[in-house]
Amino acid sequence: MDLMRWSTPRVLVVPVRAGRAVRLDVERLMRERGWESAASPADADLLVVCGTPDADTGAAVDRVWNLLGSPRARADIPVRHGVAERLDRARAELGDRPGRPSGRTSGRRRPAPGDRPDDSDDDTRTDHDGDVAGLPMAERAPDRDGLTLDRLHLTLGPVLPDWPAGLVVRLAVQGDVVQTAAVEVWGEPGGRWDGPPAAAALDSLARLLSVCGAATATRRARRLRDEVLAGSADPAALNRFARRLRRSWTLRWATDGVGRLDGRHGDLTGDATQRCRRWLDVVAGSPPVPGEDRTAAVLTALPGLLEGQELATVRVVVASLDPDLESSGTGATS
Amino acid sequence: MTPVGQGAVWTVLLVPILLGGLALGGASFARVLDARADGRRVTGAVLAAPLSATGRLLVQQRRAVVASDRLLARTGVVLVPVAAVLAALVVPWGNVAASDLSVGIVWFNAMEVVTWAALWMAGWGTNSVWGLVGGYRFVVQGLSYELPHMFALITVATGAGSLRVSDVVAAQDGLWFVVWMPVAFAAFLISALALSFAGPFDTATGRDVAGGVLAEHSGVDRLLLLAGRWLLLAAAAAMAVALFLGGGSGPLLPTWLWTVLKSAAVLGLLVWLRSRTATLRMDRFVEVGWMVLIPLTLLQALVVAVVVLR
Amino acid sequence: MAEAVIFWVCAAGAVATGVAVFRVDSMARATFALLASFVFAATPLLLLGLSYLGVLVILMMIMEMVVMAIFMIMLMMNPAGLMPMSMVHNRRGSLAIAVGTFVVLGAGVLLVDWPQRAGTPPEDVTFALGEALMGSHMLVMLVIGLGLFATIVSAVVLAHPRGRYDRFGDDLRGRPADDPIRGGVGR
Repeated sequence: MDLMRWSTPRVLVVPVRAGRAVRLDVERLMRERGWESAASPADADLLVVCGTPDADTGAAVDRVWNLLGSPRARADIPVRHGVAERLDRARAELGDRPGRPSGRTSGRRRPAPGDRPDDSDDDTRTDHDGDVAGLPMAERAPDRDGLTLDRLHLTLGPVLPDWPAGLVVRLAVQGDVVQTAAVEVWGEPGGRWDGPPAAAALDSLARLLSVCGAATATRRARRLRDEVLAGSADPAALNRFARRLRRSWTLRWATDGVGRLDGRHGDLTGDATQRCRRWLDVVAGSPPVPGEDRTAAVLTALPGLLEGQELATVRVVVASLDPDLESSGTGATS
Repeated sequence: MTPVGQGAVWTVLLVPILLGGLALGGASFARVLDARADGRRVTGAVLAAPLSATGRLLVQQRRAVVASDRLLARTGVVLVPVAAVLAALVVPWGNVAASDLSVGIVWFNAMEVVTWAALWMAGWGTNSVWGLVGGYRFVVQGLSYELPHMFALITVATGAGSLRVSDVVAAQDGLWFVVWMPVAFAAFLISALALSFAGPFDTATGRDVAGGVLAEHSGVDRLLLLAGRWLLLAAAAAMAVALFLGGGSGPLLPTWLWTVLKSAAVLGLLVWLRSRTATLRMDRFVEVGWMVLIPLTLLQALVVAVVVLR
Repeated sequence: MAEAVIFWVCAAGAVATGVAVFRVDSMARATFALLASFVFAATPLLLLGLSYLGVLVILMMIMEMVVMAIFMIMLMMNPAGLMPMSMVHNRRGSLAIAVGTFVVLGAGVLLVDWPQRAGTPPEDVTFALGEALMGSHMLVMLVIGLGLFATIVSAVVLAHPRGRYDRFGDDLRGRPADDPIRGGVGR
């Protein structure tokens, strides 16, 4: 369709462990071309897999691929070679596809694991036995305020925008309050990353800013990250960026008191605001605190930090800890 | 300045066109700010990006999750832009209002509250946890901004001694309301962002919940929601001009041009604010709304009432 | 003529959506069918020239029904899906009450000797309404308003499981308060 050729695509970026180099290239090209990052499969028309997924992740990516509405295109980019060409090809494919297919196919969502609800004597729940459209119903459990409410099982990751590659968190939620959380790691890690620390800090910051809804600051962080990687970053610009974010009270509001860890956790100590400030220090030029197996500490602390929190907080906690699974040693635990 | 009058019946048809133009301008400005943050050059393609995105959504396939409530979801989706246009009916453009109701201010408020129901339906109906959470978040947001918003409107009505928008404009002949009702104006701008679920009040569609209400909508459904959001923001900006900034009054230029210029300026300010802030979490904002904004706007209403009565 | 058409459309719409409340199988649909019914019932107020009351009823009903949808669904329905359910309770009893009410009201319409209009409606109905509420009936309205507000506050206080001793500790000196979720003012 001409219309598709004219507009910029919205891209669902799937980060895969060991795919960091590809992801950085993809994000840089997207920024330069003005391609926007999609928030959900319904929002996307281009699916870009950065790296080589393992079998489980690959199956999850395929399920997400089936959720994309037509016209759609997919680019699997296993290695850093020829990223731009592959993106171009996917883009062209998007434009060549005939428009809307005649039949309306429904995006099918994987049924959430969960038991049937117990039968209740409340007479407004008359027809409660049996599934709806093959989906099992949520069960009930006591909630934070002592009421018995329905709970729903929800899996965050591995395909989720602004989410650490390879991380899968299984939650039981009531409303949007997390009751239980279990952490898994999918896939195998890649080699150690020897990029500049400021680039790593900006990469993590961009994810945190994005889930905090600071869209413009996210764009700026990604742009500065790419400049640092290209060696063309202006120290004054980095300082200005760090200073401005330290002053932002809306950002402080989003992160204050979130995911607090005690003093035994090295550079993870404190709440999300403090961790964010440490990244800003690194961005502004101070050397990073050497953390010993930071990633393992994050994975251990994560479930305790998530339980009892709201979904909004969950994303901020994970983004502020940002376990570096792309290059760190921990193998798959699923 | 000539008083605002009721326009001919056909002027109703102009409302969606004018509002749409203003909304497109706002969306383009947002794209320009994005492009600058990305370090891209601002080209014609960037300015036209809202239009090309519209084209993209028009050809995109609509989709629905298993066991979703399509009736409710689609009703909600359609209601968002419809509510925006209905709300804008009472806004005077220059010295003509498409529908100068005697209770214009209440009408504007009622139509803007339609989005509460609309967004909740659009979120719930998709049978997705993200949509559900987004819909609930918007209602919490509504309960936090609505009372300060109403008090701001009441303050204006008290100052003018009328609920008719044309009377409000006429009452600002000597002195714009923004001068002696600054708190009400600020509360109105905050609620303008909140009622159109635009950042920093975009928790209902936040990226932390994969787009929230928008998460499962694609194609035309998504287009209507996104367009409705911009139309609501444009309608609120235009209403702010009529309520606080003296409507179309101004030197030299014709009144309609002043209305457009002032509306564009307010809209530009809102879009700029939107780009500079992180999303306000509702567990934080609820308390600010009730503990800070309500007392402040009540005090503002009291001051204005005392001035009017004296 | 147009008024009659609008009135009958609204009347039929109000009844149809009212029936729908009990025919649909989802709590969300039932709530919004009820909302539609209320909006249809409010429109004749606009036909009577009572624009303020009409628009206000629509405004309040939307806010009310949205809040009600949340509570009804939170307390009675499964948030994960659209579980089929029925809004009908106590079928026989409610049928008897409904028919009885309809007969009484219908008989009232036909049997009461309605008074003839004396005088003309005021120029500005909204203004007259304000004068009536804030003039001779001010005391009554204020008492009712305060009474409603006090009821809401006391109901919330009674229902809330956590009091100030839970928040601030036994000596009420714990700052900041011990809340599961922090607010924005920083108390």
